[in-house]
Amino acid sequence: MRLPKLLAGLAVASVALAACGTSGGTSQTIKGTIKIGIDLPVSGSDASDGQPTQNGAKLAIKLAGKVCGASSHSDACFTLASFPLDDAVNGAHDPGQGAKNVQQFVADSAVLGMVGPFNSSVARAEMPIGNTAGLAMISPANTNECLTQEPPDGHCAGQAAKLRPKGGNNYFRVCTTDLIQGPAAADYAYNKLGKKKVYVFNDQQTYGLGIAKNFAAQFAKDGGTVLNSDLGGFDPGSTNDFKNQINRAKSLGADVVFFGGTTATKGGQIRKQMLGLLDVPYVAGDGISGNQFAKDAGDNAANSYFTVAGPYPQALPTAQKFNADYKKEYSQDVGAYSAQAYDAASIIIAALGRAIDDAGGNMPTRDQVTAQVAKTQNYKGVIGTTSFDANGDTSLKIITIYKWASATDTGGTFVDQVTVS
Amino acid sequence: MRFFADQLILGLTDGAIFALVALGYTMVYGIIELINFAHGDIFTVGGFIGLTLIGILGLQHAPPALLIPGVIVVFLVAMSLNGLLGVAIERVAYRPLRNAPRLAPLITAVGISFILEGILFLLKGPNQISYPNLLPGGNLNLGFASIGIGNIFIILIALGLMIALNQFIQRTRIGRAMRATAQDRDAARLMGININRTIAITFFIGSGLAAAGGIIYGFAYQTIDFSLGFRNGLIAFTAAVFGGIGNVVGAAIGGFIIGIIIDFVGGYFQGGQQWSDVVVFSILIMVLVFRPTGLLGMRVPEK
Repeated sequence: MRLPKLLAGLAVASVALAACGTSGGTSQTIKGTIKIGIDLPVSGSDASDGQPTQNGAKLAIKLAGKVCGASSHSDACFTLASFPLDDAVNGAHDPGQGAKNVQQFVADSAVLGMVGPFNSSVARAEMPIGNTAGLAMISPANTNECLTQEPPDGHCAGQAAKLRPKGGNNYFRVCTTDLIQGPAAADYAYNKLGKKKVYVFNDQQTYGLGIAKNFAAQFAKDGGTVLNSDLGGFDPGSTNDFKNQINRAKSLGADVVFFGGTTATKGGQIRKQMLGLLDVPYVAGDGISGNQFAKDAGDNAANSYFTVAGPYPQALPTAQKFNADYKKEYSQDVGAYSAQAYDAASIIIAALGRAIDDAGGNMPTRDQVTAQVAKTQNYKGVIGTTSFDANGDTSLKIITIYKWASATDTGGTFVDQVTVS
Repeated sequence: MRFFADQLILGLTDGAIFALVALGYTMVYGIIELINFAHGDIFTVGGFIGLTLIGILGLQHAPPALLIPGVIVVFLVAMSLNGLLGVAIERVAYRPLRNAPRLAPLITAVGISFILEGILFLLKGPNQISYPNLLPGGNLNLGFASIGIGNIFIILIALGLMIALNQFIQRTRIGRAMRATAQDRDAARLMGININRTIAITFFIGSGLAAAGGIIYGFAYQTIDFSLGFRNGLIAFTAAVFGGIGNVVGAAIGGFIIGIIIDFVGGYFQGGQQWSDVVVFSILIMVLVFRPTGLLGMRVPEK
């Protein structure tokens, strides 16, 4: 824990120096430092998902450098610093570690907002802590619908309210939910791939089980058959043995397999074990969007499809500058959720500016920041125009579908995009 | 029918791996009545040694003519190195405590288990690591079923090792010394058997078989990670108890039965993957309630 703090300190120092160099001649005064926490899984199997996402958020904070009052107190400025933490333990995202990280953010009075987490199961552990402290959280990648909504069929059983023990909302996300993502994957498998019989696996986590249910419901609605009503739940921490389930899928005549889960919860291992036993396409959500999946699936990575809850950054006119900045900074192409994280951090920074006005040019309170994040409307960012609704969900409902080509594929190939209005 | 045959072959394959690991538990228990909780991690280490050797020899890209001798070399060297690791662990952590209360070596075994996992974590990281499958691919079509040729190899390798072990224990001087030591250590010593050497050989063989199990596991699942030994070790231990701990044939049979149960339950039941462990351990409890010495019974007399 000491090293990230040290790095954050160095970042603060260098940003402060840079600010001194450029502020000559203006009447702006630096009144202190505001930190933005970033909690994502950046080690182990999750690193290929989490690291490019963290890079996106850090880039936004670095390029902004400082934040000043939006209008009435534009002379009151604060240096911005990122405070990144890792919620992966032993190579996989860990809700307990996520909760500890948010506690660390909350304990630091300079942290006024956070970007993260990546995984919905981690969000469930973190949200009550953030809510109690009034800390604004914007997730770039959580897609489980039950974190924010109470759909009419009641399948979320009031979770969203339980995750906000103090009441009020502090949690937002810039990606859409699995109510859109799961069905989009199902429509693609049924209509575009022309598959009629699906066998489903899921890792039984918040995200994996949720997206598997939404996928299965839509696939059946489309006219397809879901071969296993148990949705193939397994314990990702204890098993590598998927061949018995794959045999079962084969005996039931599966012509496509859906995986609800992430690379860290054995998405690649299942795909790899299908080789030679069940040679059918593999469809999953954004949990397998990092290239660790392709490495894990090895010889069988091809013919695997995944969705991302957001637009295709390479084709987006609004993202061209970001793509170039990112490449310059990190010498690699953007990841599936880099742009979302960039926008999440930028929305917090914009809200900080308005909150500084609310605080009369002083350091705003967390509640003031959260209130301003909630008021975000028509924010024109890299991924498009974002407005938050009362639940904290975004108005931008775009799903992109990609395909993995081989074990050495770095980002997948774009195949389709679905926009829900 | 086809599905039944698929699951049966799969169960036998998994069972072969569990059986190879179970042999190590049962041999050590038979001779010094220690439950060697580090054995699951010795199995993982063996798998990693095999992976390293495959990399050094470049077998992933070797022509078929070199592949067979190459794989044999990998097995022999990995089994020997892992055997030496087992001997070293016995020398450092168990031998000094041989006359201490039973709890002491049990705790050092747990300690060794954590130490091995920690070292593997530091050396190899937390990720799942891809393992090449060097066994021949393709299926053997029998009409009513098609059997993976790789699976047949796995079962044959395991059976071969088990038969060799049984012959070794039953027919050789050292094997006789092992049986004598297991029956009555003091009497064996009076007969001139070198107890320390016999116990060391037992650890060598058990750990060597675990390495074979680890490599086969890698071939079968094409993945390995530092914590693999925990669950697989416990299941193999269960197999050893199931067959009758201390009994070599029992451990082999127990391994195969548990492998088959896991894959049948996993394949046939809705939500099967979760039920596997529930059913395995329920059967274990029933076996122990009605037959406390396991299926074949313990051949070690009570002291």
